[in-house]
Amino acid sequence: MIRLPIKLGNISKNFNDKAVLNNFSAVFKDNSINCIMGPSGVGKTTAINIIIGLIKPDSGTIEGVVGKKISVVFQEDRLLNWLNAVDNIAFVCGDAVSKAEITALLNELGLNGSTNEAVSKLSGGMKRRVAIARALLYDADIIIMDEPFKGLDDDTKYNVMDIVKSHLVNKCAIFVTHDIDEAKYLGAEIIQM
Amino acid sequence: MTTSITISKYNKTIRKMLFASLWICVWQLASMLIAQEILLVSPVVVVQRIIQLGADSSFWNSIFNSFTKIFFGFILANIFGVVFALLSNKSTFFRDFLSPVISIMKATPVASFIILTLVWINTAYLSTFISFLMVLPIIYTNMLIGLENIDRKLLDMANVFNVPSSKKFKYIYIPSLLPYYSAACSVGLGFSWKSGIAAEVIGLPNNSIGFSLYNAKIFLETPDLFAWTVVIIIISIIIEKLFFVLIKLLKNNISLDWGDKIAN
Repeated sequence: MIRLPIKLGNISKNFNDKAVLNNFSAVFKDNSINCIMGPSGVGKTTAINIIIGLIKPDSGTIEGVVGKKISVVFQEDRLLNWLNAVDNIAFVCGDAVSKAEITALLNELGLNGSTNEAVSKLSGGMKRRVAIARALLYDADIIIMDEPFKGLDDDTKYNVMDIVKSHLVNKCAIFVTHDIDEAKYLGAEIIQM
Repeated sequence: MTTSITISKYNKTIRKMLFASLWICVWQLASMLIAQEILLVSPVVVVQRIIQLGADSSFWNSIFNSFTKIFFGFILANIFGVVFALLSNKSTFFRDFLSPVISIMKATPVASFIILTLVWINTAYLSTFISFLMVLPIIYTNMLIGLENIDRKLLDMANVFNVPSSKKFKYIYIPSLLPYYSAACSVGLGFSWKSGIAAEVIGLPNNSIGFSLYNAKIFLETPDLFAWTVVIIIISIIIEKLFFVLIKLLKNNISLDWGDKIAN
C-alpha cells in the first residue's frame, strides 16, 4: 500500500520570541530514508517534534501524518527505569509483539544477558539500543530517530545501523544526525537545514 | 550480594532491639529510683497490666472501636487527598479554590479542631473526622508534588506510542507517585492515630482507647495509663509495618527495580 508523503510547508516556530524554525519546508516520501542535518540549534529536533505532534507550529502546514502510526527514538532514551529492557518494549508494543521476538532483537543488538535487567542498571549505549529496539518493534508507518547512534562505539554503531536499515522497509524513516557518514551509510536522502 | 544485604538487615534489627532494650532498662532503673508507682510505673508492671487488660473483652472492644474509626478517617483522607490532588493538578482554579482550606487545616492546632468539631459532630464520629482532617492535607500536598514531578517526557513517549491509559497509570503514574504517597502515609498514619486518640480523650466516646486513657488519668491508675499508651504505640507500629508490606507488594507487582524511587 502506498501512503501519502509527509509534507511540511513553511513551518515556523518561535520560543520566547526567538525564531527556531523559519519557513521550513520538506517532503518525506513513503518507503524512504531521510536524514535531517544541520548545525546545533537550527531546529532539527523542533521539526521532528512538530511531525510527532508534541509541538504545535506557529504557522505553516503539515500533511500526511494524520492516521499514521509513529515510532520514535527520542533525543533522550525515555525508558522506564523501573522496568527491564523486554518490559520497556512490551509496554509500548503490547500483545502485538511476543517477548521472544523482543529478546531476539535485543540479542541481535548486542544486549545478550542484559534483557531481563532493570534498564537503570544498563550503560548509556545499552539503553540507547533498547530505545532503538522499541522503535523498530512498534508497528509504525513512520519511524523518527533523533540522533539514535549517539553514544555507540563505531563497531556497535555500524552493526546497529545494519539492523535498523533492515527494519525500514515500506516505512517512512526520518533521522536527525550531525554525522554525514551515518547518513551515507543509511543511504538516506539528506535534508539540510 | 543478597546474603550481605540480609546480614546487614539482620544486624540492623539486632542493633535496634539492643537500643530498645537499653531504653527499657533505663525506664526500669528510673522507676526503681523514684519508687512511686503513681509517678512512674516499671515496665514489668506495665506488661503485667497489659496481660490483665487483655483478658477482658472490653479491652479488645476498645481497640477495635478506636482502630476502625480512626482508620476509616485515614482511608477517607486518602481517597479525598488523592482525588483533590488530581483535580488540582488539572485545574489551577480548583487548586486556588482549595488552597485556603488546606492552609487552614495545616496551621490549625489539632486541639482547636477537636473542640470546635465537638460542637458539630457526635462524639462517636469525632476521631474519624479529626483523623480525616489531619491526614487530608498531608496526602493532598504530597500527591500534588508527586503529580507535578511526573516526567512529562515519559508521558509524551507513551502518548506517541499510543499506550493505553490503564498501562500509563500502572507503569508511569504509580511508580512515579508511590514514593510521595508512601512518605505521606508514613507521616499520616502516625498522625491520624495520635490525633484520633486525642479526639477520643476529649470527646470521650464509650468503649474507646481515649475513654480508657481518660479514666486511667482521672482515677490516677498510672499502670493503666502506661499500659494503654504502650498499646497505642504497638498498634501504631503494627499498622505502619503492615502498610509498608502492602506498598512493597504493590511495587513488586509492577517492577523489577525501584532503585532510588522508593527508600524503605
